[in-house]
Amino acid sequence: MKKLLLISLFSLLTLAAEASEWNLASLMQALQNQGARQARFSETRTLAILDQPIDQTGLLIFEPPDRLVRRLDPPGNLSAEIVGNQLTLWQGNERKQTLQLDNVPELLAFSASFRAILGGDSDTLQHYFETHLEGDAKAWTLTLTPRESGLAKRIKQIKVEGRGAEIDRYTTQENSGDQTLTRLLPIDAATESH
Amino acid sequence: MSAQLRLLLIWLGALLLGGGWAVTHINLRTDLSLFLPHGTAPEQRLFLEEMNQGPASRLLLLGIGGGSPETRVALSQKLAAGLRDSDEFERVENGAPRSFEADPILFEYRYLLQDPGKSDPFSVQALRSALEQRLSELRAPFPNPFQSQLSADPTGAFSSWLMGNLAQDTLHKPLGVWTTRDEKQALLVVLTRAGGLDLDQQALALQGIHSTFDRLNPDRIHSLVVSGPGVFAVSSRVVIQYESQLLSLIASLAIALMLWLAYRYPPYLLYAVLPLATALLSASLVCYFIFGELHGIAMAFGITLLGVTIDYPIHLFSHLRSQAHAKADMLAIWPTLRLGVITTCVSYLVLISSEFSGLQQLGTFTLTGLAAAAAVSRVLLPRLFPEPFASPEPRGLAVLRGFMQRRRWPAWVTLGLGLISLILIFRPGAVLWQDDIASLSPLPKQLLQQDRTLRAALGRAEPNHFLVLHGVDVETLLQTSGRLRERLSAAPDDRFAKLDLPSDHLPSQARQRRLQQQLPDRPTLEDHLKQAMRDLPFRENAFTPFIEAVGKSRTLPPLSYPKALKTGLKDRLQSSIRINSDGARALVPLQGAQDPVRLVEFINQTLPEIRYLNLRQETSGLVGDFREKVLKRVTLGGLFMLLLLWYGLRSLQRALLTLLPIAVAILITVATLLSIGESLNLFHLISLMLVLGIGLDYSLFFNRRDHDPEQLRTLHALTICAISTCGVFAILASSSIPVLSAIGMTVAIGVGLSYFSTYALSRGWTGSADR
Repeated sequence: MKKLLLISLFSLLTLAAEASEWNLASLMQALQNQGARQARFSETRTLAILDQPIDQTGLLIFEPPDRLVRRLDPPGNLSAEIVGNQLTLWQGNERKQTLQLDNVPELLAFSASFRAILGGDSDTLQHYFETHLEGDAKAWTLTLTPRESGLAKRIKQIKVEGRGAEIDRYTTQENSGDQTLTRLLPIDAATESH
Repeated sequence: MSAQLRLLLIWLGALLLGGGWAVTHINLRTDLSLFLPHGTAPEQRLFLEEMNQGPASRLLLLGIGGGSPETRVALSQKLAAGLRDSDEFERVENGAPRSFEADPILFEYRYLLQDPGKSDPFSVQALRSALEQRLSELRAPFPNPFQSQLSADPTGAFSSWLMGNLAQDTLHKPLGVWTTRDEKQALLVVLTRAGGLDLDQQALALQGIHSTFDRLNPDRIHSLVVSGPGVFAVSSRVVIQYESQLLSLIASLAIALMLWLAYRYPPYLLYAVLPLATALLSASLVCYFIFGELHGIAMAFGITLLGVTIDYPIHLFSHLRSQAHAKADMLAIWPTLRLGVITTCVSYLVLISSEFSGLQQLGTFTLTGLAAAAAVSRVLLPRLFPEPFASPEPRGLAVLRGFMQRRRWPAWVTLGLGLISLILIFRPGAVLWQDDIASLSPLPKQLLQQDRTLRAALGRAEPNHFLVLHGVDVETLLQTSGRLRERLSAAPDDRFAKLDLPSDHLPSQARQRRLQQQLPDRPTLEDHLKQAMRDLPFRENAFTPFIEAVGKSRTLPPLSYPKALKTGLKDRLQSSIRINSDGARALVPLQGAQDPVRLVEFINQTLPEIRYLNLRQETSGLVGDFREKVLKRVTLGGLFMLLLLWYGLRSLQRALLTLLPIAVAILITVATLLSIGESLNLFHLISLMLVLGIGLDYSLFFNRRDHDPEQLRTLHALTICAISTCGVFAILASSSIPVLSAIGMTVAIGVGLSYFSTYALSRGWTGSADR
């Protein structure tokens, strides 16, 4: 009986040790190690008031620690650049508007989650969201649920799927039923596919 | 114990006791309202009220400098957040739009708050272009903050109304927060809860701002400037206290040095101070008992003006002969001294009858002080000397003996200068008076300059031109305002369109009802929307909430003023609309209007019930009127002086000859001030009255018909008096407070010239020169 107990305790410990090899911290560490990168993305916005989704493609640029650019392909030709707490909207090369992110909670959440994941910034991520990680290093799903009520009123859940240190899909679900799905293609993969 | 020592101890004891009582019982008032004129016209009163209690008096302007543009912006955000946490501030803005979150009441009223003018936002065409616009917004690289309102507000009525409100903020914000044009300072605007004249609360609020800033700026990379009425009030209290203490300390040391050099007899230092101290104490007490309070500025000026009482013991010291009998010597000079004191007092009577309660206090303070000093100099001071008294020989008599040689050239020079001054002052085109109320401000110029810079950067330059809208209640006021807006938008040029009218934020209820009638009924709207949505990817019933909202707006009771105060409109409405017993009033600043004259003409023709207020003109008129009144009284006082002199000297000719040198000295003083670029204001005028009083003293003494040794001693006394008075006021002229410096400069120049002029023109020793 005693032996059995010892064995099960041992196996429990082994399980815990195995789990500790793949967790949020190690995922974040892996993402952090990626450094600066670019990726093409394709985005599908499914909105309750539209009977067909909006599809757009563009380029995503991330430079640690805190610069994130989303540039839409022509004809929109709009891009948004986030550096620190500041969001700048560009039309081509012309600066249209600058906003302070902490004044616009929706944008703050969006940038905080997106940038924090790309940069492997676990603290910022957990400041805004409850995190739940599933799967293993090869194929994982990170689910984010907003902590703060203002954000929670708008956003239901954000789901990030990836393999190793690569992010594949990024899905934002809003309470209104609207959903935005962003697929990322590594820049090399993107050029190859062209 | 000798009788002299006993008297000295009793005197000192009484001064100490009285002084102790005064320090513990008299509270100094330090606000500035006593030195502001009372308005007589309703517009003036309205403005003064606004200045004292209105939101403008609680406004603080902040500028963050140093560091880089990015760190300044970050600090501006943090400082705004930090100050919003404190309950000392009603409002903190740094230019960053704070929330796109819809105010539920304003959102409900979105179709009644905005006048679409001639365009119909519910036509097929307008709906179509609105929907296309919304569709392109949905493609933005980041989610649109208004997206959740899309199905209830596809025409963007609320967001364009909100943006319209934000767009009025046309300030420079390259990085999302207010910044000066040169981008060297980030700017914030703070509204304190405490009133602008509540100095202690304002001081606390300022302290709060600085400590929050210091906490957020631990490396001291950034600097903070704060300006506004609260800062002015608090810092003028500090500056006045500091400067008057420092300057009077320096002045006392200068006088002590002068006395030492002139007599080399230490007890004289104490004797000279006694009449002055008695004057200050009795003046403070009398003022306190008459007015129930004592104003700090009145006291500071009063102390300065009473510095003259140090002349009285000096006259006695110089006239004491060796083996003197102080009482007899005092008696010998007393008639001259008495005539001088009485005539000087006359000039201060003018102040008491002034309209500024601050000046009344100043007049009372000085008059009491002079009378007290003269009385104790006559009665008590001589009793401090032993009988007989081996008096110290005044120093410098030998030097002065040279000046006894009467020469003709000083007289000619004086008269020549007087003539030139006369021409200079009364030449056509000479600007003698400066009636701008700003020149009366007791604040350092640098502080005012800093305030102007911040105000200009924040587009909150204190406007001088206003339209005054009036109504029996808020509804009529808003109707008038709405009519004005109609006329302005119909005007041939759109130069006047920039005015910010109360009805732009809250249309009158009558107007809201008219807008309701223009809203389409349900079948029409459904039909238009259906046509507009053709071929667009919107779902068929996507805009049902919109159709329902328009339908509901048709029957909504119009948004009333009290209800609007519960919304985000509160600040805007309260800052422009004032309600009192005779109705509602709004002051509309004409900041945007480049050509106020034409605007006023235009408004007079179309809407005569709207009045125009030119503040600078009103206040200048106020100050000018007041100056005229003072000038008239001074003239009257001068005539009264002449009569007193005529009676005292028993000869009209002698009286006129006594006044002539002072008149010449004052002319030259004024010309000197004008030629160094000062134009005269009220405080120069008051200083000239002081010069008149002192100069009269000099003239009376110079014209005494005594035998030779007496004259030499008189010259000695007057020389010491003139040097010490000039010195004290020259020290005052170095003050950073414009008023103190104006008084100091005027009196220093005036007394110097009076001394020279009375010396040159007096006929007292013509005989001795001839002999």
